[in-house]
Parts: sequence; C-alpha cells; structure tokens
Amino acid sequence: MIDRTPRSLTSRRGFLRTLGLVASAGLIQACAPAAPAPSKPAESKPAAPAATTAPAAAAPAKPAEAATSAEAAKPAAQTAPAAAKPGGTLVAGWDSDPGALDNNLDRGAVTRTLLHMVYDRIVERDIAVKADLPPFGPGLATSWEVSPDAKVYTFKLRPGVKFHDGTPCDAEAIKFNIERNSNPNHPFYHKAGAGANALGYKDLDKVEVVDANTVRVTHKAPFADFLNVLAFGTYSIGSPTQIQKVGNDEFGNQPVGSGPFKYVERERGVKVVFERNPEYWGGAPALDRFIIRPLPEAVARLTALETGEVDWTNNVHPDSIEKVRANPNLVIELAQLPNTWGYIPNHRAEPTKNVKLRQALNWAVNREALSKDIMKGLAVPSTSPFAPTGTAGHNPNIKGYSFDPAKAKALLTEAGYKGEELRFQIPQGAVGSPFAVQMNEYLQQNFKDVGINVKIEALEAQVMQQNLSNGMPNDVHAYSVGFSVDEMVNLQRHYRSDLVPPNGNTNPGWIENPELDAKLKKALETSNEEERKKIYFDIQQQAVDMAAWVWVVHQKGARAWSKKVQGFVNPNSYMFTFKTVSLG
Amino acid sequence: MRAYVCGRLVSAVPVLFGVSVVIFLLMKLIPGDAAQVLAGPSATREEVELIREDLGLNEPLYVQYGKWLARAVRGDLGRSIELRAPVTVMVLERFKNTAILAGASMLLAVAIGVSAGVISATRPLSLFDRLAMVGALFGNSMPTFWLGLVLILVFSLGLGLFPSNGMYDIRSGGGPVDLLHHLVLPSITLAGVSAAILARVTRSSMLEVIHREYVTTARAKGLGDRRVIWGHALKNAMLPVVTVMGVQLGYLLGGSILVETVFSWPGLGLQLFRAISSRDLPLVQGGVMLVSAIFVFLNLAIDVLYAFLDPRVRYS
Amino acid sequence: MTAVRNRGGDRRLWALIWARLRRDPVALGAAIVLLALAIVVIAAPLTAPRDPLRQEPSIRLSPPLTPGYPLGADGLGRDVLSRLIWGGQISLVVGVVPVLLAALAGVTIGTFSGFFGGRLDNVLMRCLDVIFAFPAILLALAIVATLGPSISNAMLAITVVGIPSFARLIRASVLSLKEQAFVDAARALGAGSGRIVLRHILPNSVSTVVVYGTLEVGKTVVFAAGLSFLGLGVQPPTPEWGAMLADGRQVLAVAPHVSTVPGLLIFLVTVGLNVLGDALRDALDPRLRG
Repeated sequence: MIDRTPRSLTSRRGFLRTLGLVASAGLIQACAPAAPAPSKPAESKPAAPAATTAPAAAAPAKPAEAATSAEAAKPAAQTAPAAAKPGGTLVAGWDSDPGALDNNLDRGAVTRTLLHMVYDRIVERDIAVKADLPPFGPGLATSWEVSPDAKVYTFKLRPGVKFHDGTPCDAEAIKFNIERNSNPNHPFYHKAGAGANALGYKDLDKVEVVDANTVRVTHKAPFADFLNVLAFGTYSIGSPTQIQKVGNDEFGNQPVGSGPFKYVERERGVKVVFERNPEYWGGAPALDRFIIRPLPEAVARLTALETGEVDWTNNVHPDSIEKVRANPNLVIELAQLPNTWGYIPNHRAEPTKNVKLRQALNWAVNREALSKDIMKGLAVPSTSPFAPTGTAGHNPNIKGYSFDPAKAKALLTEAGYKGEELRFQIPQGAVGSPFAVQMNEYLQQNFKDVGINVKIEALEAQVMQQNLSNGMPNDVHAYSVGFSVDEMVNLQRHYRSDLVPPNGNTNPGWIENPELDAKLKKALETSNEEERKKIYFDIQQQAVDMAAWVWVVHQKGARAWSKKVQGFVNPNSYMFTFKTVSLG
Repeated sequence: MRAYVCGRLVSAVPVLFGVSVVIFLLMKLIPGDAAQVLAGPSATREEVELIREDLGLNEPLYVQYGKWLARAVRGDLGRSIELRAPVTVMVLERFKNTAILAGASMLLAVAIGVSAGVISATRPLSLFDRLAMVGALFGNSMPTFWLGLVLILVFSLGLGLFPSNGMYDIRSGGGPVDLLHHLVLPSITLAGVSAAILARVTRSSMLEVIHREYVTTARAKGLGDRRVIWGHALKNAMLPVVTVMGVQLGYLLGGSILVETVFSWPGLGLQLFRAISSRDLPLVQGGVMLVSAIFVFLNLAIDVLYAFLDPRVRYS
Repeated sequence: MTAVRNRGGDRRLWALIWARLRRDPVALGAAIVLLALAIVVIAAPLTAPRDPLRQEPSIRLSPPLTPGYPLGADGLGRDVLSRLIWGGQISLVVGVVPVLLAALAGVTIGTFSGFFGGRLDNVLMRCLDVIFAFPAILLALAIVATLGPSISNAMLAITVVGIPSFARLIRASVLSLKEQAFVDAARALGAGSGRIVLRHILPNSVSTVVVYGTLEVGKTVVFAAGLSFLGLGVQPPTPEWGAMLADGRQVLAVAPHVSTVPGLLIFLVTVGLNVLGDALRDALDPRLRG
C-alpha cells in the first residue's frame, strides 16, 4: 500500500515579518465585540384593510415577510374563536427535530406539543387560555359520568367531529384507539403504544360503544385519576381508517387526527409543515400554515429570530433574555413549566440513606442565587414536589427547606458524615435543558461549601435513561432529574415502593416507606376529590420532612416571538398551541 | 492493469464487511438501547420490554447481524428505529446535503489552494510566497469548530451578512441563490484545512518538477522554452496533488460533523451523531456503511489512477 | 521512541535537530514558546492566579481585562485564565499520550508487517484498512460512547484512530529499507532478523516517526478538543480547552470571549507544533520534502 501522506515543503525564511503581520489578525478576531444583530429592515406594508373586526390590542402592521398579507389579529384567549380572517405562514424555530407523530408514543415534550395540534383527546387541559394552571375540561367528550366506585366511566362525545381524512370521530373510533393500545388480540395492536399508555389502560376491563356518540370504559380496579391521565398527549385519538390503511409502523409518518392542524410534509432536520384544518370543531385556526424549523443551537435560534428568519422560538437561553427584552421588535415571556428539578438520593445506600444527610443536602442549596443569578429568572426555587403555578398538585401550605448552611453543617455532624465522596450522576445535554451541567456545577460548589464532597459524572442522556430503569447501584448516591410533575397522581409514580425498578423507572432511588405506601394506596381508592387532595397534601409534607428528594428548582420555559405574531397564549405547560395565532 | 483493478476491488469487500461488523458490535456494546429511547422517559420496564421484542432486540447477536446482512446485500438497509422511515432514503437525503457542502468546500479549497501553490512555486521566496505559506500554516492549524464560531461571530452576528445556520431560508423556499448564501460560511470553514494542505503540496510538487524539467531541458537545449516547461511541469506536478485532493474529499465527506454541528447544516455527520446518541442501530449502520464505502472506493480510484500513471506501482 | 541502542544514531539525531534550530529563528522561537507553555501548564498550582473551580456568580461572563480576570470569566464566574492553565495539563496529556501510544503500536505493527511480509502483512493491513475506512471522528465517537465519556476513554479512542497511519508509514519505510544493501550485508555477517530490525532498520525510521509524531500532536490536540466539543471528554467541572469552547457556544452572542479565547489558544499551540514539526522534517528527513 502506497503511503499517501502528503509530502510538502515549507519555506519559512523571512517568516518573522509576515508572521507578525498575520498573527495580529487572529487576535483581533478573538476580541471582536458582539455587536447586536440588526433585524432585517421591515418593509412597511400599507395598513391592513379595515374590513375586519379589529380588537383594541392589534398592533399596527409591521411584518417582515409574511407569505400572504396578514390581517387583523384574532382576539386572544378563546378556545372557540370567532370567525377571524385567516392567513399567513408562521415559522417557528424549535430546539429539536420532532420525532414520528405517532398518537400513542412519547417522543418528548417537543413532539407531544405537535400531538396536541394534530390530534384531539377525550378530555383536555386547555393550553389556549391564559391561566395559572391550564384548566381541565372537555375535549372530544362533552360530558362524562363516573361511577361511585371509580371503575366505570361513561363519555358523551361531541357529535359531528371528523378526522382530517373525512371519516367520523365517533364512539367506534374511540373504542378502536383504546383497544389498540390495550388488547393484544386487536388486529392493529400497538405494542409500543400499549407500553406508553400502561398507566391508563393496564387495568382495563372493557370498552363498550353504547351508541354512536357514547362510549363506556370499565376498569377492573378503582381508578380515580383516570380522567387526568386521559388528557396526556399519548392518549390522542387517531383515525382508524388511516391506521388500517398504512399500518402501525407508518402511521407516525402519515398521521391523521382531528385537531386544528393537518400534517403536510417534512424534511428531516430542515422543516415540518402543517396546514389549517378548516373543518375543526373548535373553529378553524387563523393561520394558513405553520412550519417548524429545528434549530438545536441556542445562538442559532436567537439569530434567526432577530433576523426574521423565524417568527417564534422556544427555549431562549437565560443569558440571552436581556438581549431579547431590549429588542423592540420582539416579545419574550416566561412560562412556569410543571417541572421539578433536583436530585433523587439513594435511599438504600450509605450515607444517603440517613435522613439527616439528605436534609443537610436540602439545606445546603442556595436556590435563590441559582434561580436569579445563574438562571436569570428562568427558574423558581423549589421546596416541594410541585411547582407553585401550572400544577394541580401544588400545596401552598407546605413547609419546605430554604438556604441554611449552618443547619446543614449541624445535620452533617449529627449524621456522622466524615467527608466521604458522593457520586452524583447527571444527564449531559438533555434537550430543553442545555444548562443542566452548569447548574449542577453550581450546586456542587454549594455542597462543597458545607463540607459535602460531591463528584459529578455527566452521562449521555440515553445512559441516564437506562440507569433510571435499573435503579441506583450501591456506589452511586444520587441522580440529577428533571421530571414533569403536574398531576397529583405523579406522586404515585415517584414514591410507591412497588414501583421501584424493575417495575418502573420513576423511583430509582429506592424510596420504600410503608407509611407513604399506605397513604398513597388510600388516595387511589378515594373518589371524593377534596378527600383525595387532603391525602396527597399530607403525602407531600411527609416526603418533604423525610427529604425524599433534594428539591432545587422548578424551571421555566422562555418563549420569544416577533411582534407580528398575535394571539399566542403562553401557557404554564410544556405544551402550547398555535391555534389561536394570527399574523398581524 | 485489469488484474490490478480487480484485485483491489476484491480486497475492498472484506474491508467493508469488517466495517459493518465493527460498527454492529460497537453499537451493541454501548449501554442504553433504542427500545429505551423509544419508550421515552416515563416508561416502565415492561413497556420497554414490549418495544424491545417488537424490534427484535432480544434475539442473539449473530441472528440480528445475519438478518441485517441478508437484507443489506439486497439493498434494504432496514428502517430507522426512531423515525420509522427507510434508512436508505434517510441516509441518501442527508448525504446529498453533506455532498453539497463537501463539494463546495472542495471547489473552494482547490481554487484557493492550488492556485496559491502554483503562484508560490513560480515566485519562490517572494512576499506572496511567504504570505501564502503562512496562510497555509494557519489553515492547517485551525480547529474547524473554532473557525466556524469566529466566522459566525463576525459575519453573521456582527455584520449580518450571512445566515448562521441551515441550508435554506424556510420562507423563500430555497433556490440556488439562497443555497449559495447559506453555503458561504460553512464551506469556508470546512475548506480551510484542505486549502492549506493543497497549497503546500502543490507548491512543493511544482517546485520539484520545475527544477527537474528546467535543469534537464536547460542542459539539453541551452535555455529551453519556458512555456513548454510550464505546460509539462504543471501536468507532472498534478499527480500528487490529485492524490491529496482525493484524500481530502474523503476527509470532507466523513469528517464534516463538527462543521455541521456549528452551522446546523442538515448533513449526514449530524444525522449519524444523533443516531448514535439514540442508539438507532439501523441508521448508524446504514450511514457508516455508506461513508465507508465511499471512502474505500475513493481510495481505490486514487490507487488505480496512480497505477495508471505510474507503471511501477502495478507490480508491487 | 528510541528503543534504539544505536548511540551513534541518537547523537546524530539531536545534532541535526539542534543545528537546524539554530539556523531557523522561527522554529527555535516556536520550540521555546511551547516549552515555556508546557512549564507554565505543568506548574499550574503555582502559575494559575485563581482556583479554576471557584464560582462567582456575580461576575459571570465578564469580558477580558476585567480587573482580576485578565481573560474574563465564564458562565459560572470562573476565571478563564486559570482554567486555561489547568486545562492545559489535560490538553498536554491528551495531545501527547495518544500519539506516543499510537506510535508504539503502529511502529510495532508496521515493522512486523513490512519486514516479514506475506500472510501476516496482508491480514494486518486489512485490519488497519477497516479502521482507516471509518471516518475518524465517528469511530472515536462510537468508542467513547461505548466505554463512557471520560478523558482516558477519549485518549483510547484517539489512539486507536491514529494507529493505522503510523503503521503504514513505518511499513513503507521498512519495505524500502529492507531491500537495501546494508541489510544484506548484515545478514551475510550472520545477524538474525531481530537484530537486523532493531539495529539497522528501526534507527533509520526513527526520524520519520519523530517528524510525523510532532505534526500529529497538534492534530491530536485539535481532535481531542473536537471530541470534548461534542460532549465526550472531560467530566464537569474539570477545565479543558475544547470543553470550554463548547460551554461558550450558547453565550456567543453576549460573551464571545468564553469560546474564542480557548479556541485561539488551541490554534496558537497547533501553529507552534506545526512550525516545529516542519523544521524537524527539514532537518531529519529530506526525503519527505517530496
């Protein structure tokens, strides 16, 4: 084999002069000041024709490049909008490329948001209204009856709803969807979907079509939280006709739902295109189309927004918030996500199995500084399992931890901690939280300051995932986690001893407390909502007292858009929708 | 000659086979699996198990590999686990984008590098020569991801002249001008190292040949016709240059991931990186096989070219 | 590299190098600067002004020339200069060790392959071809992903990727050398294979390896930084030049120095290594001039 290493000669006599000249160029580049990017000059279009209802909030027309001339904005905050003039294509820059749009699979918050736009569910959390907590309400079902033993649910469906392919979305369709994800003998049994929806359908007894618009679901055991589960994105209803036509594998690539937007096409890594569903039962959206542009780089998203390449973006980096705020053409809003971010300590291994050590960890964290200085307001301090807004489970009266290094040190002495090294494993580069590594580094300093010796191991997100399923081995002392914790039923997943691995991956720290278990069981069986709430609040307080987790912050999502985007509601949720948006 | 080519072709097969086995084993050794990824963060063990069975991940390794191989030789590279689309289609789609970037970078590198090398060779030790060689030194030492960031900083964020990401402007729907606009910064970044290497090789190769030709002809004829020398010298000098160009092209196609990351260029490198992260075995295998095959055949083409031009090689 | 007992060869090597450096002020300058840098970096506990891990959220992202922070502060308020110095230790190790290991392995393989030829040669070269057929960065990626992200695994991956080139280089050299007259002479005098290889062939290849190795160190530093850039290297909060570059990407618009300064350093070090490597090549192995 011939060695093809290039042979070259360099003549470098007289180098000194030229080296000096050229090297300075490199230095200049390194010190280049960051001049703010000018946004593309806005072409001033003539004021939109006034033949439309012009609500007071409409800004004067100042578009960059709407595909068609956009008209007055629709009034915001209405799920069933009045007939507004349609038009325009919204381009949104998102932080990742959505996965397959399968109605029963969880591909992450980004994809689930799209599920909310392409499909409907039996019941919904309405993310199109401005509220502290997205309100729970009707979806495809307009009303329902629950039997006193919380086993039988009868849903009355909205008549006349059609899928994008024209077929009716009726009781038969709902039955198809539910059975497909629960009955192994169904001709289109969706194994992966059954897995993802196990929480809702595991104890299913039967599904009956009572009449064309009434469907009855019966469980084998009491399931008081069933309705809350049904509002989740993976319980979306897809068109049986389309599923039968293309098969389980392909359905995610050619999705057909009944939602406000229809899927058109996609080019991987470049764009995903959706268009308006004019027959939508909730009123057709104003936009003609919207296009998702995946831009994983925070800087790229920011630049694209500033230059007008995109109109809307999510996940603004904390350090860019000021820049966006200062830009007169842009709007930025922070939404409280139902996110609980912190550590799950190992309850089986020394020394974290000692409650005093766990409490010390909690007292050592300076949540305020983390939220304000490092996260620039993109997080709020967390002292309990639920975020203060945007979650149904928040207990306003909970007594939690604050920043008290002295107390931490005292507890450490009481616990007999001798400075052993603690191994904390954290995910690196998880989508939506690119900042996680820095946050963890900050906390490591917090711990060091009170004398706790923490070693961080940053693992690939996939590996962390597997570790969560396997549970913590004896020589790992905590996992850094950022769970979506919104409904109270989530407490079941995190604290029940029968859900430790391998039965689940939400309790990897081996929390096995008989008292907690008893309370959790009772809650499942209590169908009275007030009673149930009391029990769950009690559970939360106990969890806090025993320092089951180390709660650090609840993260917020920063979303920014150009002023020409009207009517966007920024809900306190991972999800959001474009169905109320118009381009002004 | 034919024997040589056939011989080389035949030896390429076990190499590709070896590549596929290595990549298969590596992916299997990596902790975490695709079923986990598909199931999502809130799935239980049983949910993951169901998916795993669905994907055939519980079968013995040699069975899994055998199935893949049987389909692969027929041209069916399977379906991506994460995205459910056929691998061949996905890989070719993204390869097209990488090829565009690599092609533009190659053009740029050749244009700048070879011409600089030729001019340098004609005026050795002049100011141009020295500047060019310093430039080549810098280009050779430049970490591509740093260069990319600096270019974005200056030309995109600072002066707003060029877009900082992607291939097309979504709104205007593409078109060659738009593509060129998006191509400028990434191709300059990628071309840097290649241009530097080409400049140096061209210069040294030219110098050596000129010297030889000039001296020989000068001795034979007295002074010799400059143009004849130039024409002759250039042709002879190009052989090592073309060799290097081939090597560089291979490097550009395979190593574009850093530039694609910085510029969010939807190319194959980025896709493979993501596929490795999500443990999407069929996609990784398909993509790596494609790149390796190109690499191997590119090398083969260069060897054949060499053999064609230099008979001594054929018999080694 | 010098498993060579040929003292004469040794002295000649150094003499050549020194002679060249004396005549070439730029290369000499590069060598001195690199040496100085290495010393500063090795003596990090003494030379770094601050604790590279100490966070001061109140001054995060301060630009260079802030009082007390000559090169500015990063996203957590840590001193960039100190992190660069401490990070240099890692970059030094990661730049040199894989090259040494790859050279060792590559020289061994290449020598055996070239000298003994035949079946062994074929098999070895095929195996190396397989490694060579992979795009380097993807192979390194896959290896690190398999073994887990850490500095040692990154070094292992880089070593594996670098072996084929060394092996081929040595093999080519051995192939041409073994036909030469002095080998026949040695054999005629009764020298066994081992002796021939060690005493006669290797010493003549050493200079090739030294030159190539020097140039490779620069490329390796960049390659390792690239791996860290993609998230597969050091573990936080350990400083390392490539990782620092990656950290600063998100704040490029508001605090470019966090990325550009480490990158500049990588660039300058590589330039120095290339200058030195070129000088060495000119001095030791005129054949490589081409």
